[in-house]
Amino acid sequence: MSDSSKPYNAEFSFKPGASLKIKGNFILKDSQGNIIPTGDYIKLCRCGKSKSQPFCDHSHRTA
Amino acid sequence: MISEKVQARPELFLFKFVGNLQKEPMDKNDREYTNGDITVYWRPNKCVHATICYTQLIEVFNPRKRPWVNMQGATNEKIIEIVDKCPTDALTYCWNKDLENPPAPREKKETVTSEKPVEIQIMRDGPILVTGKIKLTDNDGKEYKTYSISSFCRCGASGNMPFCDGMHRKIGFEG
Ligand code: SF4
Ligand code: FES
Ligand code: FES
Repeated sequence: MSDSSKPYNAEFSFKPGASLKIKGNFILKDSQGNIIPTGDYIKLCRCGKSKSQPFCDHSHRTA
Repeated sequence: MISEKVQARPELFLFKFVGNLQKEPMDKNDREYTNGDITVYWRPNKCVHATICYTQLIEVFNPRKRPWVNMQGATNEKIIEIVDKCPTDALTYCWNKDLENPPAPREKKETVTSEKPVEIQIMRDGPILVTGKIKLTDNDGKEYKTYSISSFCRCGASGNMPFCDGMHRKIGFEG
């Protein structure tokens, strides 16, 4: 396949026990539906413990 | 009724027919609920636990009650409004009068598949709802199959990581 365009618009990756890393073309919205301005790379909390939800603040390291 | 959110970002949604609803094979867990005017169809295996239905209309959609859908809990209009907000085909509805006559084609929003930005919606006390084309890998580089809508666990308690399996409700996650 010579098509250079990617079949996806954003890349998500995760590590067990740590954040969800998101890179690419995306829009982030809070639970009210308001857009949260971001760059093209964010880390979202997956552990439920972050004090700055929805972002990871590394609280996942302190069990 | 179209939700405000859909009106605000109409380019994020396409429409597709679900007029052939009845022809879809029924899963043994599928349920129907009716109030005589409309019938709501529940397909649990399509649910991504986006929590929209019960956070917005607990009088009708109450996961703690059996049956969990109470068709007497709100007006037809309100029930239809919330069913239309369900991002998947887990909740759909049909007017009963259309069941007797040839069913009128109905429309339901579906996700885009084009170059639109991926939409990442934080659900209150629930998961991260992602709409659009994504690539998902873990730290070993293993690639996971994704769909046009996925919901990622935010509470830390899912038994099906990284996806939400509804556990946030059991543990009373707030955030
Ligand atoms: S996917 Fe639909 S049925 Fe499932 S929780 Fe969300 S709104 Fe309710
Ligand atoms: S995943 Fe890092 S704080 Fe929750
Ligand atoms: S957010 Fe749903 S199981 Fe964790």
